[in-house]
Amino acid sequence: MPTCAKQKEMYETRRLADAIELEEDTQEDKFLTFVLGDEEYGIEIRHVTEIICIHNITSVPDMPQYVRGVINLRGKVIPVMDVRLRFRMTERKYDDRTCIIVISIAEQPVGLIVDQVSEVLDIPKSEIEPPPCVTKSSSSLFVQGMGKVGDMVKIILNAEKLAYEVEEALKPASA
Amino acid sequence: MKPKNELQEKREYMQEFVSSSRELLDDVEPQIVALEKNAARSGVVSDEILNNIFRFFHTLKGTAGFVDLTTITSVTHEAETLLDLFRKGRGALDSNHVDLLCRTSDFVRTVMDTVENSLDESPLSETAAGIVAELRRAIAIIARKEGAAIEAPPAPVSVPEPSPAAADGDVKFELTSQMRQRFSMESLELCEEAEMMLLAFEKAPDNLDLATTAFRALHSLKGNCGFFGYDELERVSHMAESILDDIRSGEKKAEPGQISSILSAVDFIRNSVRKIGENKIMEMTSDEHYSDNQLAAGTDENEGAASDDTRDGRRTEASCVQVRPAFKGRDDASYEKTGGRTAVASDGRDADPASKSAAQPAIRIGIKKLDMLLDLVGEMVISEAMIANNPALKGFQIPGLEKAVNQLDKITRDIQEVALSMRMIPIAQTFHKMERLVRDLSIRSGKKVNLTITGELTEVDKTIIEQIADPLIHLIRNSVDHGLERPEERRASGKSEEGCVRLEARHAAGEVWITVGDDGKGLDRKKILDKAVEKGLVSEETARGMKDDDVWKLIFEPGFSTAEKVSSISGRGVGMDVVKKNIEKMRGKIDIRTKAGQGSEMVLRIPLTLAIIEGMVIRVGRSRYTIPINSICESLKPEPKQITVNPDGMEIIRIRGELIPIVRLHELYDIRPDFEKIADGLLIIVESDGGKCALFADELVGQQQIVIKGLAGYLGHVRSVSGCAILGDGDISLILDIGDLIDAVEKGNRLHQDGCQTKTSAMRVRTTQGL
Repeated sequence: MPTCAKQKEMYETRRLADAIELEEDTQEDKFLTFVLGDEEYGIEIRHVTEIICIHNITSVPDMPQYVRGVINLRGKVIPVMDVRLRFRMTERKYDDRTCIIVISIAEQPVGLIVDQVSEVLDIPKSEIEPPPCVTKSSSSLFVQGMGKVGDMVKIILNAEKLAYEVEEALKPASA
Repeated sequence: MKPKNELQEKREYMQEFVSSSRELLDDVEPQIVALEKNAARSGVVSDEILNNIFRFFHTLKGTAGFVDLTTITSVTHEAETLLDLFRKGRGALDSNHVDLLCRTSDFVRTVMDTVENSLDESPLSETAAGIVAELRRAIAIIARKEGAAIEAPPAPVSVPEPSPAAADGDVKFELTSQMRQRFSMESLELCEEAEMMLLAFEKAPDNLDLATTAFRALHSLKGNCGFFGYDELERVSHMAESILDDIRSGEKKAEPGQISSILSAVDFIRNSVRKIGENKIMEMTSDEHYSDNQLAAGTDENEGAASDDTRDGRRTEASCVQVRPAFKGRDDASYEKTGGRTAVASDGRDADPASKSAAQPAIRIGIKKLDMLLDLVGEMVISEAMIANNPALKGFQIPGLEKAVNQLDKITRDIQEVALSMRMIPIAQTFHKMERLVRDLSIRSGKKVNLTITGELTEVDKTIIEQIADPLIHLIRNSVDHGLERPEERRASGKSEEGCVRLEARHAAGEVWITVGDDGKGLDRKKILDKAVEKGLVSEETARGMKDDDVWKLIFEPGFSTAEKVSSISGRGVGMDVVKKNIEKMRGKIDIRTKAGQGSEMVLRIPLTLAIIEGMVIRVGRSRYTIPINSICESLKPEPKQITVNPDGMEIIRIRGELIPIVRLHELYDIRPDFEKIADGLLIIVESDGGKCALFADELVGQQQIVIKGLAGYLGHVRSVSGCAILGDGDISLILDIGDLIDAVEKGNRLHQDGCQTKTSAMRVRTTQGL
């Protein structure tokens, strides 16, 4: 009965797939929230690798204003962007609450400078609404949805877009 | 099994086959070349080499048959037949034959490349047929000469038959010690895996996956042993494998004794393999072998008979040199010494010096892990410096602290050195590839060339090894094509007909020097200058007064070629400038030494490692930049009267009669400096490629060894920056790409102006690519 091995294998495969799904499940509805100005934003926790306090940043020429430069993270050189400037908000002096959220997208780590990191929240899918299309703010491009937590609303950001999207709308005045 | 899994399995087999065959191919190609040299020199071919090559094709045929690559089996079969004729002395080997063999091995390589990607060899079957036809023709010619009719060669797609080697009985197949070590290393890993799986399986007999994994390990082991001609080992692993096969397919339950007997078989293999790795070559008497009673007992009657058959079949072959360790004093039930005589014969023929040195056990590590280690070590060095120079400790007299810190410093530096040395590998393989190249070149150009290689064990950074091959090929081509004269010219000038090309590697002055030399006619000053003037590279009057060294450098100019006619090999004027670019990419230099009529020599001087450079850190405002120390000429505090301003705003400094354009780094990179007036700051004169410029900065911070890192790919290319370095305090400084900077200045590019304009568009392009 050579089918025994086959069955075994199929079973194993299924179990493994279940396990992976399960693991993703645990991260699925979790969001790391942070503060920029008066609003709270969230990004999916699966992108976040670590949170560090503000580092010495070496500026790199030829970069758009929001790319502040590079930092040395334990021997790795990673680029950092100021999310405030990415959203065309006013610049704010860095203080001891300023944090860098290191996210990793397609294995490329990128640091996000935010005013302050709040907490990790569970926001079920049912509580997230699609972003309103009416807003004209520059940050709307990166918004994935609006998450309702109690009577508060957290703006859920799309990490990939935040890191990579070329902001047609954000191009200098000429555009 | 699902088709997907089958495919996966097939891919695994194929991968295994391809990688081990490639290694063998790399080893055998130089031998084919050697064969020809041998034949040309003495008219007699060395039996030893011939047998090696024969054996190679034979094993390749066997393994290719195993993975169903009919194209390889067909061509190797013919090659084998051809070689067999020579071995038996029935024909004289000439360069046509060698050519054919080279083409065959090339073809095998192509097939391997193809199947590695697509698992499909069918597109190549036509080529295969062509080679088979040619090989047959060659065989037929020999046969005709001999006057004896040779039997028609069997169908090309025949399954490997018992090799003629077995019939001959006197084939001595010599493996190099490197091959043996590699084999031993891999096999030990497989033994380990099989053993682990078997032990786990014993505990959990229901988990057939474990048995399958063990089976796979033993199966690969069998393949390897067969490949290398260790027939006895192959036989043992085959038997162990067949028992496991029944168990894993669920046809039989594992009996209590079976696992232990398989385990003891694994032990046997491990011991033998270890001895092989240690270069203890032992002759074996054919009546001594691992008892298969126990293993056979585990299989059913048919199986037992089958393995007996194989055994007998192998036995005949076993009369070719068998490598097998002696078992002394092992009274284990699983070993049965029927003959009891163990002959330990140290291999007298093995004159390879490398094999004499103690075998160094090695493990293979992914390059990624190594890089990570290097990163961390770099960080450790920085942290160590931060502790040692911590301002909080200044002024305190803490007993023993200084000593402890010094000790720590020493250890971290040692660790860094070791970590760096792990990336170093001998350059031998790259060098040996050139043997084949020289052979092909010599045939195409009709010149006799002898290649000598020295210093092949010189260790070089892995990344350099990867990048050095192309420049070397160019230089060797040039040597053969332009450097060496035709045989008649050589005779006329009193040299031996055979030209000599030298390839040499050695460590000198913190660099690796790789020399490509020839004893040809040397560079011709007049010819080079005529050409340079014709191409408008130099004016006629400068040409007259040029120093020899500067003349030689002209050959690196783009589009320069002195060859009177363009040959298929070189002379199109691309090449030398590319060589120079490649070498410069490695931060290396090329020295040219030449003597008319006596030959020329190109010395590639490349830093030992690409990971660390000596750099000068400079400061502009709050930013710090690093300049590679070897591109700095001098630094000075300029006098206002030395500076002139062009009508278009370009500032120029005059130093000892030389006019050098000034680049204001703060304008280039748009930062706020301490000083705006040139006389307040500092000028650093940098040079690359003969071009010079003066960088205006606030101050020199200091010289240090820096570990180079790439700038994150996310940022794309940054103007005139080649990477970044982590400074002693953990901050990052950008490394200036001086060559790029000077190029930009020379192009009259007003850097700071168009820099601002291109900024946004560059960003746009990059970010879209980033996705």
